[in-house]
Amino acid sequence: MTVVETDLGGYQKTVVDRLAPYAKYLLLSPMILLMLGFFVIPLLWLLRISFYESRGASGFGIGGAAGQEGGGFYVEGTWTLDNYVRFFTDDYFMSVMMFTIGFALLVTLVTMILAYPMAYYIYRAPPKLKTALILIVILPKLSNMLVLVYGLQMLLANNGLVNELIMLVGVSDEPIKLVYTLFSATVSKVLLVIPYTILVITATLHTLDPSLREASRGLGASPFKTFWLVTFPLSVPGTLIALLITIVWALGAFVSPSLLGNPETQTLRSRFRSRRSRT
Amino acid sequence: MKAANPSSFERTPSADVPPVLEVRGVWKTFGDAVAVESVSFDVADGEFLFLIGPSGCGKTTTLRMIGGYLEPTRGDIYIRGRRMNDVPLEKRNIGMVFQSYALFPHMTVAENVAFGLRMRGVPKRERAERIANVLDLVELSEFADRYPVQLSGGQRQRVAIARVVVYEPDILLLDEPLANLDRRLRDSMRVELKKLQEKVGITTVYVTHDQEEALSMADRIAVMEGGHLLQLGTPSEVYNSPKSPFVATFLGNTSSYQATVSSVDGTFTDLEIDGGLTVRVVNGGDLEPGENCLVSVRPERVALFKASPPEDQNVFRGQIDFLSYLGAGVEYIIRIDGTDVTIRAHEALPAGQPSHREGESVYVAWEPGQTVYLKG
Ligand SMILES: Nc1ncnc2c1ncn2[C@@H]1O[C@H](COP(=O)(O)OP(=O)(O)O)[C@@H](O)[C@H]1O
Ligand SMILES: [Mg+2]
Repeated sequence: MTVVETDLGGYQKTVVDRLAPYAKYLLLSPMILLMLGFFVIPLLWLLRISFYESRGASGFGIGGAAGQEGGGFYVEGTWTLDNYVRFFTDDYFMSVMMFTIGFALLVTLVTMILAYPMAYYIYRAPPKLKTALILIVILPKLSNMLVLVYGLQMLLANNGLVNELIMLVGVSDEPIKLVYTLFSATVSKVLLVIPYTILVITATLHTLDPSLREASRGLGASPFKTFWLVTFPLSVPGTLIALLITIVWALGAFVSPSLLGNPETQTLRSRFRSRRSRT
Repeated sequence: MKAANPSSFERTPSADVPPVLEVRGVWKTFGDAVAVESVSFDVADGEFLFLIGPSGCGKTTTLRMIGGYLEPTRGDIYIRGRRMNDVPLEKRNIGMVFQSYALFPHMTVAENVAFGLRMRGVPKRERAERIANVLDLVELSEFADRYPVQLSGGQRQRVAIARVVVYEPDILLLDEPLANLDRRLRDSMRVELKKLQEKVGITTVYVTHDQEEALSMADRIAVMEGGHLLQLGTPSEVYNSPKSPFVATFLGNTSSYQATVSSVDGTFTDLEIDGGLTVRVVNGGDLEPGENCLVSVRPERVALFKASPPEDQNVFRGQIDFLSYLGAGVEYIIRIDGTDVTIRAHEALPAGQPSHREGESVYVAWEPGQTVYLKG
């Protein structure tokens, strides 16, 4: 933009005049302040702490409270890379990290495979069914996350509904261990994330001009080819955003693995190891 | 009643070639609302048919039923003698140009044009050749690798046409293709489209609410209102011999009045207009004294005289109430002395200056044969 400075007949620009064009950024300020205060600054602080020398103590306040002589688990004002060296060379930490990433990828894969068809179905549904389906998708989000996870825990328990059904149908004579497995951890995490994924993909599909689909059919494409050549490629950008949201959420997985997963990290680690070495 | 001006450039469907498209008693209802009601017409091979009518009269719905985008509630549609009702749209070999153009944004111009050929399994080499030919036809050769967002409105529109013309559909359907263009572009595209249609010789159904488009481009015009097809004929037939008041007023400007037949004598009939004027028309032989009818006269048929108007015409003395300067012409609204009746007169302005002024007293005159009457 080129602004030509003109002589305004001796009129001097005041501070307010000069600041006026920036007024629109005021709209952003509450969000920016929140992010700064509760996220960016603590994160930077944490980053700084990660370069402190360790005191060797393992926990909070063990060996005396922070601030006291010899207290806390780090030595303030020091600089070292030891913590990073330890993290990247320690098998335990590495396996936890690899598990976290692997778990996130698994959850993302399952979520995307389930979410896209569901979103497409909602997109193509007649108006009333569409509203009902969207409500069903959002409904779990109205309950507390812990309620959801504990409910799932009960459902998948050895004497839970799922196992009773399995035995009733006769698939197995004794209950199958479902809870505290990778399976139950994945199911619960997928259930927690998938509403967002579905909503984002559904919204993306709704931004497509419906006459594109008609045009494709009119030009001679079958419904499947229309989906494959027109609808799907055009939904890719929005679907990638949904994918990103899902991955980030799954990476932050904490509640599901800890409440429904296997507490013995050793088993998890070895299971994950053997899986990885096969591929 | 004025007979149609037979003009050489108007093609009328010949009887020996069977129609490409037959629409037979087609209805479409949405819930309780009737959008299209018992519409029937034929379109001959190579004919350029216009569906015209006000917004919401069912033009798009009719077009979409022909294309297979909507199923008729009742009635049948035949293409080259084959009943189409249950044929899915991708099997109909119809080319539809959408009002929004509906170009695929993730494909280049060439890929958009290739789409229909790919779906028909045309081999790659032939495809390239046909795409090149059609892009040449619409003068977009150097834009083949551009994406739709990189094109102007007029260029997009030509891509939309090229995309369907390339696979030689049985019928070309256009839904208000010029509505999104600005006025100047619209006028030049009108000429381009007409030339293209003649060059390709493709049977075309064109939907518009713009009477100028219809009158200037059509072989025949179908006028619709409220889901009904009111009249189907050549542009001069529907313009000069409207069969209903709606058609008379929808196409072009006109002054129309309720009237009663006062006397019938041989060739001429006198009609008494509600305001108290007596207008003379040429009797088509179907008027009885006492009957009600609507009379109308086109502004361009009405002449103004300062003095000594011609005899044997409808002549009234009045005062110019209003003058609107239109650039290429002037339109006057004249109030007839001693009445509240107003009449419009159009004057072409080759020399530039209007011949009359507002407030001036003039004679209006037109030939009885130029008066259109409609019974009822
Ligand atoms: N999908 C639809 N559902 C309900 N009513 C519709 C639908 N499509 C069109 N209509 C109605 O049918 C009538 C004709 O519409 P349309 O054919 O689009 O008119 P036009 O193209 O002549 O402006 C309108 O009254 C419109 O509201
Ligand atoms: Mg329409």
